[in-house]
Amino acid sequence: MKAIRSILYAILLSAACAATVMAAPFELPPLVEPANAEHHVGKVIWVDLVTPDLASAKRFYSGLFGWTFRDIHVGKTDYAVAFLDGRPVGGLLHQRVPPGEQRRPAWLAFIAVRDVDAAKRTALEHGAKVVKEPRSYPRRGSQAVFADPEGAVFGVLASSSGDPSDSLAAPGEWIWSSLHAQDPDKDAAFYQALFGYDVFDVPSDDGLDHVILSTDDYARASINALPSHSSRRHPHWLNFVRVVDAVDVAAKAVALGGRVLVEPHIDRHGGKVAVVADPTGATFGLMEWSDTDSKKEPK
Amino acid sequence: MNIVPRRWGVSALGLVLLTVLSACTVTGGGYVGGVYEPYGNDYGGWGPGYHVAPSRRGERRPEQSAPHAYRPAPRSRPAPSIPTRPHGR
Repeated sequence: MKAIRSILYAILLSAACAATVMAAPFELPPLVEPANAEHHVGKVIWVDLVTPDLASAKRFYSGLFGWTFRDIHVGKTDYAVAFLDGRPVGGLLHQRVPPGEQRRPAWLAFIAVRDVDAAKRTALEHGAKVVKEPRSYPRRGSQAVFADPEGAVFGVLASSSGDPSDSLAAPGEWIWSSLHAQDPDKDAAFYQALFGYDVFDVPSDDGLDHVILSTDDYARASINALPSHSSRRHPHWLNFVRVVDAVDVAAKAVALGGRVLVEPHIDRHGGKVAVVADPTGATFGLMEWSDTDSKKEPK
Repeated sequence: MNIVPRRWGVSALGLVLLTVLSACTVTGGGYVGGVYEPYGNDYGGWGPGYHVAPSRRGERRPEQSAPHAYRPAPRSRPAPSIPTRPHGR
């Protein structure tokens, strides 16, 4: 009788504990509101910053792009969803740097898939590693994080509210992503197997390999050979925010405590791009993109 | 006589306690957002002609190239650009 009573107490305790955990789900806003039926496999549909200083990051990105934030605090997790004109544009996750380790904060791109588990299988078959196992979030969908065969880290996300429609990013929104790899040729094969990309080799003036990855007849990302004389030799994804004037925004980034890593310069599309770092060292790109086709491409 | 049921009871209690322990330690509210990058390297080396952006529609493709590990899109197709339709249209 005593044993049965103990079991009942334990069940009650278990239920109470589970209820506490379940009562506070980590609820991210849906990617698309109202939900749609669009799916754009291979498109970068979400970007998260992992940072050891959430307050500083919020100040910086708010000052630079006018983002506003909605805080989510559940258990030991501090997260802020960034909005621009009411649209969610990304997330900022507070994560301590493990003691004794020197690690750099980073923006992590999530690429659209239909099925995260299937993506995991394909990724593993083609030489990737799982960094974070597939997991579901209410209203958001399922996601996982992988390292590609060269070690560049990226996420996949099967959004339960559909994918954002194919439209031109507004200034202050993410517009482009580029992968910087040791061997773009092999990496392109990996990402083609995973997302079904059409792969376009594009001419280059520097003798290095550059390719454009495309789905739905839209360019989704580029893969670029790491410059041989670059000191940053580890493969990585770099995400770009659309800006009206890259020189102005780069200067503003410096005034807000950031750094310019690659000075604004004209790129393939005729606008300027630059690479900057926020005050904690997370790197991202700035990209001008005019609404008109009046700019000529550089020869 | 009561030994067998008591053993069952103790086993069940152990199982339930294990469940309690795991339920309480699961970070159900956590978020697996991402990971840090290696530290110590910095940007540089983007020389002239190091282009990372998408093209405007219709950029020419190299007429010939070495065999690739990937399946290249047909040469007749120019490299596509990004969407240009504004939000909400």
